[in-house]
Amino acid sequence: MQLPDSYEHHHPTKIIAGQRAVSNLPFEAGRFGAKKPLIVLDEEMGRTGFIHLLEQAFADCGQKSGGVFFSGERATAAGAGEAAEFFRRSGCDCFIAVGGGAVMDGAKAAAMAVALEGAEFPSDRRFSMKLPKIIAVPVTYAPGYQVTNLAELFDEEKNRPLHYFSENFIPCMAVLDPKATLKASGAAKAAFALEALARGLEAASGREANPIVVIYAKAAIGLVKNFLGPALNEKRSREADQALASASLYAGIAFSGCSGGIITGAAHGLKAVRGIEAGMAAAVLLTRGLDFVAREMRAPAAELVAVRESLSLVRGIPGLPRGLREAGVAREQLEKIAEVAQAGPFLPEDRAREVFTLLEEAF
Amino acid sequence: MLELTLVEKSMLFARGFKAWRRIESMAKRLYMAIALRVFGAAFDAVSSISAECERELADWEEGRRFALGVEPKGPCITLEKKGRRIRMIGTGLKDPHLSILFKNLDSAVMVFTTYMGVVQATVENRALIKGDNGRAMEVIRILDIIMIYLLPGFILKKNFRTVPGFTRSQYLVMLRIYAALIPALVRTFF
Amino acid sequence: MHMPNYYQHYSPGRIVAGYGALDKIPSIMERLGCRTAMVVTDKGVVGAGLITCVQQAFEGTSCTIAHVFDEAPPDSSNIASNKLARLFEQYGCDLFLAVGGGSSIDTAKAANIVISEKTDDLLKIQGAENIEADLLPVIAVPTTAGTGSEATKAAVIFNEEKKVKMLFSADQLCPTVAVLDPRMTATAPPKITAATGLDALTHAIEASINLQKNPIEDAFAKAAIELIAKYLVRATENGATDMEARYGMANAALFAGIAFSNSTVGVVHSLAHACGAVCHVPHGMANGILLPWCLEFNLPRVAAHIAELAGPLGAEPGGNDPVERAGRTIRLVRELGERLHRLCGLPLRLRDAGVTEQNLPHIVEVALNDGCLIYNPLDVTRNDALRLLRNAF
Repeated sequence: MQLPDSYEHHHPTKIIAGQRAVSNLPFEAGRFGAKKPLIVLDEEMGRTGFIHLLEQAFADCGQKSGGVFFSGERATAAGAGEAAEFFRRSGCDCFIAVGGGAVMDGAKAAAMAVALEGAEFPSDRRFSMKLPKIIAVPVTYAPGYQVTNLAELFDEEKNRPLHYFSENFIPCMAVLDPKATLKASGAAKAAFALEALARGLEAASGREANPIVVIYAKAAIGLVKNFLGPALNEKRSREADQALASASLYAGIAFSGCSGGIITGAAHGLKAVRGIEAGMAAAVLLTRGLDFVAREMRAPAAELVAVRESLSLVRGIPGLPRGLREAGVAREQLEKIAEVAQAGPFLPEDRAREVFTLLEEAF
Repeated sequence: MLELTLVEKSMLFARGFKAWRRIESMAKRLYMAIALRVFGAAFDAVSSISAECERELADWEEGRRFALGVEPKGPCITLEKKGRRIRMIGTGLKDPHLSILFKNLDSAVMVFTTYMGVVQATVENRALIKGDNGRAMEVIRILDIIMIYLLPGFILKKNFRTVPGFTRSQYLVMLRIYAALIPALVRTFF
Repeated sequence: MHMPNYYQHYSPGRIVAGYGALDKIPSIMERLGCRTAMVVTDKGVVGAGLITCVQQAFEGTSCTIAHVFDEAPPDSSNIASNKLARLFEQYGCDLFLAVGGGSSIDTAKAANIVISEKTDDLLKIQGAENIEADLLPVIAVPTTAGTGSEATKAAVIFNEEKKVKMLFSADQLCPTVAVLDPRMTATAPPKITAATGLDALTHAIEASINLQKNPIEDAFAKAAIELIAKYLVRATENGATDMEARYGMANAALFAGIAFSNSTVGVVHSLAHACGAVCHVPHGMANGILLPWCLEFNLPRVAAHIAELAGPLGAEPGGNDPVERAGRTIRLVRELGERLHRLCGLPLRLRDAGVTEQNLPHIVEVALNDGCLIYNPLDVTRNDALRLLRNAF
């Protein structure tokens, strides 16, 4: 392991993962001074009834949640304002976000709205105000990341996403319960795992990666390598599902410590232009463009081997596009996608050329 | 949809009703209250008969108290060393020197239904300890002895790192413990 | 890779590492909203001139050092921490700046409990996860690379009246910031460098084989082991001239600290704690002596886990048989111990570390009450413990 001459790292998320982790949530939340949560979730999770598990855990402690707020498909200022109002009215002191990345963005935006106390959302990307505590209950195989320092808010007036970065977005706790696992197709599982791989690889080889980011990234890549096979092939493996959930979580943590990279950037562009889910986009880009990515990134050799092994597992899975063409992208769009990627939050330096080449490789 | 078994699905459905949640919590509390009292009686019975327990207790000072229970404000018992045995002196926290408290009802129920061993529960951070760690180890060793005498072999095999073989005289001790358990239970519950 | 049924991982501290990291302390304090620091250290650290480096970092800044408390005893005690707590309040401080080995950092942690829980009787607070109050910020600057105390959620304090060791373990005890600056560990003498390095190695190895093993602690532990294999001999041999090795070891100790703070340690530590309590064997030294023997003891249950560590320790890849590969790990650990023995005379046997044969039964009794035993992969009986000690004697 190469040590940089100096580095700083801070990612204070407590990870609680495993059997009946949700039952332990009220006790652990109490230790953070959080007694009355506002639970944020989306319609799909609402239908699964998972929330009753949380309610039971609070009932067992003689407590009650402050209520449930359904976030929409994407976080908006109006939605956040509504949630903040609900939060204040019911006297809540923390958010619990149950679901994937969109729900988490909803909770982060709501927390921002609570801190802003009715003021307009700022135009600055960095957000430094203190926020109410956020607890993440990531759902396995749901798209998107929960434990990052980034929040995406959709500006409805200008019809474009706004991105905010803040250390305070990082949840104080992430609870991985095996019961929070969605029924998923092979393709969805592969996309979930490959997105973790892509982020892990980017974090481990990023220029500003610190050793701790690399440790999280390596752990994520190692878990995917070992457990993607069982997750795809066995009818139901709680162990493999949990391992992939952990991998995704570690990848999110690693990602928080680095500013992004060409895969994440390109995936962002694909989502903005063609509406392809970030996980699926990362999967396609990694499958077809690994050689290019490896050359560009100078990734650690052992991790590259692990990524190649994992990629060989997903070859030929139905529903997983073999290239961007199969995913419905036209060649003429690549230029535009690269442009949008460059304008997004994941490419601080000018790398539009590399993104374009990667997109071509993956076409 | 979630990846759940049929039983898990039905439980989730039932928990959708507020009344069920209240009943489930009460049932878990009641179960733990009974299970803790049974263990209270078992401490009494085993400590008065087992030689292993006697050896463990030799170093304990008279009147040492410890409590077992569930956080927050869940069922709880306090036990005390009196003479050569351990007696349950009542429910609730009665000024114990050491408390071992489960963080939630579910974890406690898993251990007290023998679904999960004490070692596993400790490893999974399912309990908190108020008091001296060394003393907690002493209590856990006695808890192990009790389980070895009272629980069937297949559970021991599942929940213990190594299961000591039983000698013939230990089987006799086991019978005596079962016999002593009945009056101890009567004393504890009535 | 092993995926447990359940695990927890928490490493809330900010890590600030680098050549010259010390100079960032005042700006870190400002970010924390603090102004007045209480330095907690011992006479040895002051004598080595290390506090001067810290004081220089404060020059020309708006933050101040109100007082330098240099009375942290080798075994942190309740008397020292109570005194420190009184001084802290007297001087109107708002932050602890612990500069030293494990004992200085633990003394600061204990004084922090005294102030935040508003008690002077630490006996009432000892235990696992028994602290409810929010604690004041602590910045830890380790001057040895080994204990990992700058990143752990535990503190061990000796109660001088009752003559017992009190263990505190709670999330809040993890220092708010850990500052790793190789200048601070550069002056440690070879024998201490070697012993504390082996302490870190033991933390990493035990964290990755015991019952709380989990994927993220594994990754931290393996990173630590890799760094120790690369740098420990160099740091011992070259002293203050090899800053790269010192920096590598400081990072290794931190990673090992994060790993074992979450997945605890096992039989090596139980026996080493007992050797320390009964015969005053320095902790790192005892760990180093006992580690290979205890690995052999645990081998039948966790050969695969031990085998995984051969790579990070520097073994060539290859060999599919886990038992054979685990044997390789143990040989590498032994070889490391022997090299350090040749370099600085670090003992390889308990008898050379001040333990007599008559002490062994007493050590066993103390070790059996050590909480770490419960996390060991195999049950340890009286006979097992005695056999292990005799082997290492």
